Amino acid sequence: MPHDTQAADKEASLAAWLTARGRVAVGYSGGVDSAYLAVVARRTLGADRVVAIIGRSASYPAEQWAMARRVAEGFNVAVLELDTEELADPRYAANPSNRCYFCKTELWGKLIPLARAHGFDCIVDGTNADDLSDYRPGAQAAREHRVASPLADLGFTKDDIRARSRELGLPTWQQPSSPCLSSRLPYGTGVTAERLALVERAERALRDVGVQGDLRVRYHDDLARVEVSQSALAHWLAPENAARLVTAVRAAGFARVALDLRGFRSGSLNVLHGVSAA
Amino acid sequence: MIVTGRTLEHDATHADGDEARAEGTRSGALDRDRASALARALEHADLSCTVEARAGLALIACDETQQVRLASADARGAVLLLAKQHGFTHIALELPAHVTA
Repeated sequence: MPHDTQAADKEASLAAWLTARGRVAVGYSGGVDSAYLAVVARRTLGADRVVAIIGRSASYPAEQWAMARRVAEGFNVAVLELDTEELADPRYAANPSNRCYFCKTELWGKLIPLARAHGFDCIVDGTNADDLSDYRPGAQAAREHRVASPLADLGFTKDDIRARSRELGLPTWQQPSSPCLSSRLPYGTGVTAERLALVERAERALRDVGVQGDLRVRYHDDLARVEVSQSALAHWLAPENAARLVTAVRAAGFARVALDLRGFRSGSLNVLHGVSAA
Repeated sequence: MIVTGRTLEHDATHADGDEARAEGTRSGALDRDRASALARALEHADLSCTVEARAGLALIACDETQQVRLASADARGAVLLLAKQHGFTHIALELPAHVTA
């Protein structure tokens, strides 16, 4: 069966799943997965039966918040926002390998009461089937809070979600994956608002000089290790382009700049610290 | 040929206690050895550079001619393989601050 047909079939199953729940609140970041889920829920259930809830903090990039608002406005999805304070939790700020558990515990601990106060008892997130094979301690917090993950349960892969997002006209369909800014700090390196802001400035500066597609600025104290997509490495290794890259990252506040020779890889710092395989 | 195993002992500076400092010193020495060995291997592969070890990250620095060579996927593949053989999970090229655009 062609991939597009399979993905469309999964979307039909998702619509049936949502219809059976009646009303849903979506934990919403504006990333590829939660944007797709929110829009399908809105189309299936109607405007009054769906709310997308954004948790904002220093680890949530401003650029992504803007995308989240843009998608919600474009597709008439109601949005609520709340502030999360995971950085105030020393268990999170110490940046252990299960950091995401404490972040999601904080998120769901605030989001679920807010959703219930607005009449939403079914809470869903955008976890997909591909995520299940990765190291994601945040998923445990979701389970503990009885958050449903219909995309994962119905077998949606990232490719499925991108294909269907494109079909639905979502601007996120080709958006690179965008985990929180804390993922740029090696485990054991304390998470502070200043470090997150430094990484965010550097990534924004690199976008401004033309870096497209996958991009991460990995924080190593004085050093920024920049990961770009493999197909872009040759371009950024050319001295004249490398100079622009260095100027941008130094202006953001890093003293030293290095280009990762393997290029972007998801969960790169998990590998560096032995949490997942190289 | 430049073979430099400069090592910043980050682990030691972040840890508390004599035992942790001793462990940091041991790992610092290990990092220096790995950095020197990788620098020699890269030199053997015709890439003269300095190598700085930061735990699993090998940070290399080279001149502009060598940097241009690394634009080739084959050259990068060879460097990645050598880094892995010397116990590094990541290798990154430090870009000089003084290059002219």
